[in-house]
Amino acid sequence: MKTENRRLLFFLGLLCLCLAAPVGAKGLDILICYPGGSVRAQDAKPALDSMISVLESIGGWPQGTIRTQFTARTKQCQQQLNKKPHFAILSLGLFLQNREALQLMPLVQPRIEGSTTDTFRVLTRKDTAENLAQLKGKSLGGPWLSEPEFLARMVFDGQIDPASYFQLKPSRRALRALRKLAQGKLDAVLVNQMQYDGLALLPFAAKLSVAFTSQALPQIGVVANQQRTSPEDRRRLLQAISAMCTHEQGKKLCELFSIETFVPVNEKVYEAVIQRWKQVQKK
Amino acid sequence: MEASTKKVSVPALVAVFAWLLAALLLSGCPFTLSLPREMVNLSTCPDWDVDRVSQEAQTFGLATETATLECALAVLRAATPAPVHQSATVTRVCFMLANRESNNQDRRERLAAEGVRWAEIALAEGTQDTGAVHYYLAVNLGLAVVNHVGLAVKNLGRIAKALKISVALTPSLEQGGPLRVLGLLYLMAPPWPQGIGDGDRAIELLASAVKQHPDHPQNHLFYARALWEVEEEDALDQVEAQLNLTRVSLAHQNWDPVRKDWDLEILELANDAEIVLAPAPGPQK
Repeated sequence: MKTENRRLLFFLGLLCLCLAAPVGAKGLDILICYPGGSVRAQDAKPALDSMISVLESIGGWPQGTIRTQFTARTKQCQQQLNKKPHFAILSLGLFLQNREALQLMPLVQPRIEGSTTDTFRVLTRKDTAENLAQLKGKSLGGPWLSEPEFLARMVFDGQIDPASYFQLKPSRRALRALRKLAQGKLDAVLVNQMQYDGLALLPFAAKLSVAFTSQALPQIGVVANQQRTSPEDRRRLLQAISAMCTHEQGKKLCELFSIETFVPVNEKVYEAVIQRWKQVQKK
Repeated sequence: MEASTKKVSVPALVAVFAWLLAALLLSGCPFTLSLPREMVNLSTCPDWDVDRVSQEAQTFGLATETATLECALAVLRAATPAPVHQSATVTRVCFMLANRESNNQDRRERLAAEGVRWAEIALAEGTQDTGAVHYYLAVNLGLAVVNHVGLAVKNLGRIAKALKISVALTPSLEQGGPLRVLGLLYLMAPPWPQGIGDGDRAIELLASAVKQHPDHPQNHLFYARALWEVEEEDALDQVEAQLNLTRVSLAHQNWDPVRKDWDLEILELANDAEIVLAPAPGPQK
């Protein structure tokens, strides 16, 4: 799993599904994966509907027929992805894993607090472990453990294979994992940048320290299936999203999710990640 | 199951109207009920005055006919001067009616918005039922904004604050309603660090609701859901036990009007958790 903000991922999904219906088309399949989250499809519906109503007005999109699929489960996301939706919001790991087979193409990235990247950290209790070597065989918890291949190749950059190196204790809720860490029920927790920045809000933050910091990885955005979408579909989507955060109503939504703007994907950024994915073999 | 397919078609005008409506209700304007109301033909209603409605309202529950609730609301609305001393009753009736409008979002939001205003009036007037009024303020406000993501997030803090007051003052209202709803709110709200969501707190509140009010099916159902969402496979036995307890309590005739809907929720959660439940007990008197 790779993204700075799971809520952002969800937001991007809403955005994508609202903007991708061309006039006169029979409809487009939009897959929204919210891996690691605890949102049920039926609970997501009001948010989806609200976002749709605002975004349809942004670009003057006619009411259309849009088929959306929403899931918070990595396994179901992969199953739905195999059905080749036109557009998708995925984790970086699922994107890298399926990029070649499904001809996936990244389209757009969000920018939050001036950054389009995310960084992962392994947190421990102070004075228990200062580096990864001291955590071998220990328990590692947190919400980002559902894609061990991605963790091995990208987060830990081939240094370790977390599936065999740690006792993995995945949890959908970061706060719960951190409380267990503070109570000594876990030895380490993997958090992303937003969670790391939020530690100051927790009463036990002073008990924790960082044992590992990953390289900065690009934020995930909207990806398109190149076989099933036309250049015009992709161009239109890009154009509409770019206008989102300057539109009167859209601006409020962007502010709500702390998104400054959406930027076209810098292909070099993803190329570098793709090369690393190919080159780095897990140990 | 998490995956779903749906056909989306939302008239923009309806959404804009709903946003404006919600903005009105949140703007604050004491003692002015400027929200649109539908008319009820009082000639078809019992010959009740405000005091009689207040008396009858003590017996209102799930089994009460919707027409009876509408008549009660119509009497209270029509009273001159406005029956501010009965605001706590009105906000409750508004919620009961709004909660039944599952297929008419526009009417549900109008009724809930009216309930919020009556609750605000009750609090401004120094109601004796502070805990109950805060509870109905919270649940009405929740119904009014739940389909508008921006407003919902914006009002989470206000809803949580009102529920905390009702938990402190009237935790047993509606068989643990404040505990149940605050627990669900903590379960569904955006989690740390983005929001107030807190799975551990949700479990704590819902466990308390189950312990203190084991006859309310939703206490068991929400507790099962919280256990599944937060503890996942580690709590499968507990989830199954709570779902079975939901069915047992739901078999009582008190729950006839909602049994079908809540049974569906039980099955959805069981399906999600891949739990095979024993056959449901038949309705009991």
